[in-house]
Amino acid sequence: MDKVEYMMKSLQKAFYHSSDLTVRQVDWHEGNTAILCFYASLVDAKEVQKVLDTIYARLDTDKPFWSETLITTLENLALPQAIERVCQGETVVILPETRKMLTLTIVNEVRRNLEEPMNEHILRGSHEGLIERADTNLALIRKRVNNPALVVKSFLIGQQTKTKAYYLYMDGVIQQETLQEMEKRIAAINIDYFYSIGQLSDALEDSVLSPFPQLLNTEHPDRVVANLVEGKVVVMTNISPSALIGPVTFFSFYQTPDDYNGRVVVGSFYKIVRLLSFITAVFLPAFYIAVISFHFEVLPLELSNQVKNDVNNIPYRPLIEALILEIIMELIRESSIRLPQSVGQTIGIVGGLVIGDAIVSAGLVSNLMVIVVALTAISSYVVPSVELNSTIRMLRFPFMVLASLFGFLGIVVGVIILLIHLISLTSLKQPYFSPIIPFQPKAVYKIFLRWPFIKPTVQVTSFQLPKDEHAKNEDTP
Amino acid sequence: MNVSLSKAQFFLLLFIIQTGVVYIAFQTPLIINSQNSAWLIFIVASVIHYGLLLLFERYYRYFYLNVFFRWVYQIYWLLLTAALIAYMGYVLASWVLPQTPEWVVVVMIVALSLYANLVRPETVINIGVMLIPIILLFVIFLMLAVPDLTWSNLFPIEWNNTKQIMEGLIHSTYAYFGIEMYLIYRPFLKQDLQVKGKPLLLYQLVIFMFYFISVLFTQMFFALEEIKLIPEPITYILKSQEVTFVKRLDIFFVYIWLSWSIVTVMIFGLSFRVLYLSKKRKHPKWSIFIYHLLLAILPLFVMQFQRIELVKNSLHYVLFVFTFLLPLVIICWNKWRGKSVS
Amino acid sequence: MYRKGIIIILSVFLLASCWDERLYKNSSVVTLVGVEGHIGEYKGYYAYPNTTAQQNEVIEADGISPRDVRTKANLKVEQTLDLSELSTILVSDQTVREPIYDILDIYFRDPQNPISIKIAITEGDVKPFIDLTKDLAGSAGGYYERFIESTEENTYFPKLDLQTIGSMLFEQTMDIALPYIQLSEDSKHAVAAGLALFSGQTFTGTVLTPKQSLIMLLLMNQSSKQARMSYMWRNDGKDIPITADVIHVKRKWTVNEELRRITMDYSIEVEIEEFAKNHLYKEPILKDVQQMIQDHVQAEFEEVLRILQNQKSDTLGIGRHIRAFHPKMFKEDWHAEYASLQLVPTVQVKIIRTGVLR
Repeated sequence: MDKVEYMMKSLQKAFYHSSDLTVRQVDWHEGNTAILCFYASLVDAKEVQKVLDTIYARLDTDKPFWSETLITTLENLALPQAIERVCQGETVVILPETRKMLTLTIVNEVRRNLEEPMNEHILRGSHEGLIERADTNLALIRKRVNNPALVVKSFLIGQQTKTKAYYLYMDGVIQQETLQEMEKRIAAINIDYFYSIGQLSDALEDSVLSPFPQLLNTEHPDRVVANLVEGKVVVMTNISPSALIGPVTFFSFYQTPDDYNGRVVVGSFYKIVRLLSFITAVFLPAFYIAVISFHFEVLPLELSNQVKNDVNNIPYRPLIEALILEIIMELIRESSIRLPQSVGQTIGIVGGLVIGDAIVSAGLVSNLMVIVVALTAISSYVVPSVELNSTIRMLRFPFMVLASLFGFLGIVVGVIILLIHLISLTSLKQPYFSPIIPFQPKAVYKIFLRWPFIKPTVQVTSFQLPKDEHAKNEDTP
Repeated sequence: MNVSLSKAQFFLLLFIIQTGVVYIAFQTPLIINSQNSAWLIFIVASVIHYGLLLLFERYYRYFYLNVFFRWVYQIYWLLLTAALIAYMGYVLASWVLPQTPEWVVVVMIVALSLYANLVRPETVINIGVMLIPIILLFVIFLMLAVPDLTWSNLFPIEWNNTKQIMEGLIHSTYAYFGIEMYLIYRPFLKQDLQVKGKPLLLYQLVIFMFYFISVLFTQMFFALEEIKLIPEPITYILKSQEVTFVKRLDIFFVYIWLSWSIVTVMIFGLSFRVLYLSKKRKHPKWSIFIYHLLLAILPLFVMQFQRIELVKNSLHYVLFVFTFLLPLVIICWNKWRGKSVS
Repeated sequence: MYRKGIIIILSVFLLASCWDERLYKNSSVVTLVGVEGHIGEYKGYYAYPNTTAQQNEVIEADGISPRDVRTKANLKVEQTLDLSELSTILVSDQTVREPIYDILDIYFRDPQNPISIKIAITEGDVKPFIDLTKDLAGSAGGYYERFIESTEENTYFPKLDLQTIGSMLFEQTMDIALPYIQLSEDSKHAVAAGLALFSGQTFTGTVLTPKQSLIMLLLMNQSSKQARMSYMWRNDGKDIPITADVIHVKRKWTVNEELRRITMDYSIEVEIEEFAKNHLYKEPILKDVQQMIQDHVQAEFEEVLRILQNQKSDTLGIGRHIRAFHPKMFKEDWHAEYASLQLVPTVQVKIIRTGVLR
C-alpha cells in the first residue's frame, strides 16, 4: 500500500502538483491496485473509461496479449517515460505489482475544422487548408499521393517542449544532396522552447539576415504536393498550419495554384502582371522621388506643368513627403490586421478616404505622391506570398533613401546591390535566382508564361549548369 | 577556381567586356579618322576580328601565361580598368551629375565591383544576364532616330588613302578590345562544348551588328564637322529623341550604360581574380580588396578633360599591343616551345 | 569591425550628399526664350509659368553673351531659372544676321538643355512676341511649339529641331530655312509668315512667303500630312477655285557633271479637295485641271529655285547629294559653286484621287 501511495506522491511531484493532472488509485484484478494518471485537459475521459472496461473484461480471460489493442500497449515501468507519455496526452495506468505500465492513446486533441487558408485565397482549386495538427495534415497529403514513395520522417523540436514535427519527401524524385542538407540542418537545430513556425524557418534558412524568404510557406495541401513531386522537402509541425518548403527560388513566391487551375493564356497574363508588380512595388516611389528632386527634365512639358503645380507648395523634401505617406500606409495596414474584421473595414475607409483626402487638401503631401504610394501599396499586395510581400514593402525604403541622395544613380547602385545579393543567395545551398542564374534561356520564359503541360521538374542544385537536361526548373504552382 | 562556363555564359562575358564602356563613345575617333568611309573600314576591322577569334579558338591551348606575363596582364587590366572608371566618372559628371564629387562616383563603382567579387565567382559570371533586356532597349530606342538620318553621309567612299584606312583600323580596336579574355576564359568552358563554327560566327555577327548599327547611325546622324565636337555620339542621338512619355531618353540611357559598364568593371575584377588565384594564395580576399583599393585611387588622377583626352588619344595603341599583338606573340612562342595549358 | 565600417561610410554619405539635387519646386521652369541684340550686347527674355496666377511671367535681362544674359536674369527671379523644360527659342531677325551658332552654343553644350526643341525667327524685336504669351493659361513655350508643329503639319515649315539645325550648321553642304513669324495686326497672336533663308550660318534677309515655303518643301520632298495648293481654274471665262492636296512626291535628280547642270524631275500625286464645278470624271476636264496645276507648280518651282540660288541658300541639300555621289564636282566653297549651277526642274502632276465625289 505504501508503495502505491509513495508512487502517487512522486508522480504528483514530478508534475509539480499541476491542477489539471489526475492521479487516481483504481482497483485492478486479483485485488491489486493500479494508478491512473493523465492530464484531464488532454484526455477524453469517457473514451478512456470505455477502453478500460474492455481491458478489465480481457484481464479475466488470461489472454497473453490482453493489453494490446490499437490504442493501448503495455510497457515496463519507467518514470521518465511515463511522464513523457502523459505529457503527450496519453493515459498511463501504472501497475506497481508487476512494474508495468499500460498506456492508452486517447487524445482529446484540440483541433479546428479544415478551413480555407485566410491569407492564401485562391479562386479555383482545392479549398482545403492545413491545420494545427500533424496527423490531419499528413492525411490531407496522403490523400493526394497514394504512393509509398512519399516518405514521412518525424523528429522532435525543442529540448523542453518536445514538439512533434515531420519532414516529407518523395523518394526517387528528391536529390540526395537536398535531402542530406535538410537532414543536416534539422539535426543542428538547437531550440529549447519551440512555439512558433518562425523559429523553425530561422533555423533552416541559409542566410537569416537576407530580406528574402528562402523557404516557401504555404497552408495549401495541393501546393505542398506539387512541390513534393518536384523533389522538394516539406517540413510540418504539430503546432502550426504552415508547411515550410525548400529549396525554392525567388519566382516560386510569385506563383499561385490559380495560374494552373485557370486558362493557359489567362494564367500567363496574370503571371506577367504579378512580376511587373514587383517593379512598381519596389521602384515606383524611388523613381518618383528621383524625378522630382533630380531629373525633372525627363518629363514632357505638359506633364511637367501639372507636376510643378502639384509640388510647388509642399513644405518639405520629397523623401519626407513619401515617408509620411508610406508610414501612414503601413499604420493602416497594421491596424486593419489587428482589429476585428468589422472594425477593420472602418479603418480602411478612415485611412483611405479621410486621411488621404485631408492630407492633400491640408497641403502636407501632393496629390501625385498619394497616387504613387497607393499604387505601390496595391502592387505590393499582388504577391501571393505573405513573406515576400512584406519583404517587398520593406525594400522600397532603402531605394527611396538612395534615390533622394543620388537620384537615378542611387537607384542604379541599389539595383546592382540587390541583384548581386539575389544572385548569390541560396536556398538549401541551391541557387535562389534560378533559372536566370545559372542562365538557362529555355527555362526563362516559364517564369513569365504558364505552360499548358506541367511536367514535374527538378530544381537546379548548383550554380553550375546542370548536366541533366531534365533539371530545368520553375513551374510549380 | 572551380568554375565551368556554358556557351551562353562564355559569350555573354565576352560580349559585355567588349561592348561595355566604349559603346557610347568609340564611334567618334573612328569617324574622325576615317571620314565618310568609316563604316566600310569598320566592316574590314570586324572581319579581321573574326579571323582573330578563329585563330584564338584554334590555338587557345598555347596561351600559357608564365608568372611574368601574368603580372603584365594583371597590371594592364588594373590600369585599363582605372582608365575606364575615370572615363565613366567623367561622363557622369559631364552628363548628369555635375556637382557630385568624382571620388563618390568612383567609390560607388568600385564598391559594387568589390562586393560582387567577394561573393562567389558565379555572381559576376551571371550578372550580365540581367543586362540583356536593357541592352536591347538601347538598340530599340536608337531606332527612333531613323527618320533623322541622312543617307548621303555614308558617301563618298575613299578607298585609296592608306593612312586613313590604317588609322580607322587602329581606332576600331576600341570596339574590339578585351578579346584577350577569350583566351583567359576559354579553358573554363565545359569540355564537351563545341565553339568552333556556328556559335563563334553567331557571336561575331551579333556583336558586329550591334556595333555596326551604332557606327552607321552616328555617321548618318551627324555631320563630319559636328562629330568632332561630340565625344559621346550615342547618348547625344538619344538626347535628341523625344517619346511621348519621356522627354529626355539620354538620362535613362546614361544610367543604363553605367550599370552595363559597372558589370564590365566587375568582369575585369573577375579576370584579375582568375589569373591571380590560378595559384593557391594565402589571403585571396585581401588581394581582391587591394586591387579594388587601387582601382578607387588611380582614376582620381585621370578625371580631367585634358587627361581624359590624352588617354583617349593614346589608349588604342596600348589596346592594340595587349589585345592583339601580345597574345599572338605568346601563342607563337608557346607553340614553338610546345607548352600548353593542360 | 566590418559592420562599423559600413555604418561610418553610410553616415558619411547620408550627411554629405545631395550634391546634385535640384528640387523641382525651387525651379522656375522656363519654356520660352527670346534673344536679340548682337555679341557684347545681348538682350534675353525668359518666360516661365506663374503657378498661382495661371499666367506667364517674363524676365528681361542684358548681357554680353547669351549665357551671361541668363546669369543676369537669375538675379531677378526668386527661384532658379531652369531651362531643362525649354521648348522654343525665338530669335530676332536682326540678330541672325550674325552667325546663329553664337546663340545656340549654350543649348548644345549644357547637358540639361533639351535639344529636341524649336527655333523661330521673329520679324523685328522679340519682345512683343514674348509679351503676348503673358496672358496665356498654358505654357508660353508650349504655345509656340504647338504653333510651329501645326504649321509643320501643313507643310509650311520644315520639320526641324535644334539638333537637326545644329547638324546642318556644321556642314557647308546644306543650309537651313527657319520658321519666320510675324505679329498679327492686333498684336494678340503670332502669324506664320514663311521661311527665313540662311546661307551658311547667317540669315540672308530673304523670307519666302508661305506659298513659296510650301513649294520649297515639295522640292525638298518633305510634304507633311497636308500640303494644300489652291489655284484658279479659268474655264469659259469663269474663275473656279481648285484646291489640291499633295499625296506623294517622287523626285529624281540627274547630275550632268560637265555641263554643271542638275535636272530635277518631280512627279507629284495630288488629291483634289475642292472643286465646285465637279465632273472630274470627264476626261478632258481632268486633263485640263491637271495640266493647269502642273503649269503653276512648274512656274513656282522655277521661281523658288531662282530665289534660293540668288541668296546662295542651299536648303535643298544639293551640296550633300553632290558631295556624296559626285565628289569630283564638289568644291570647298560650295555656296559660290551652288549659285552658278544650272538647276532645271520639271514637274509632272497627277490627280490620283478626287475625294468621295467624282
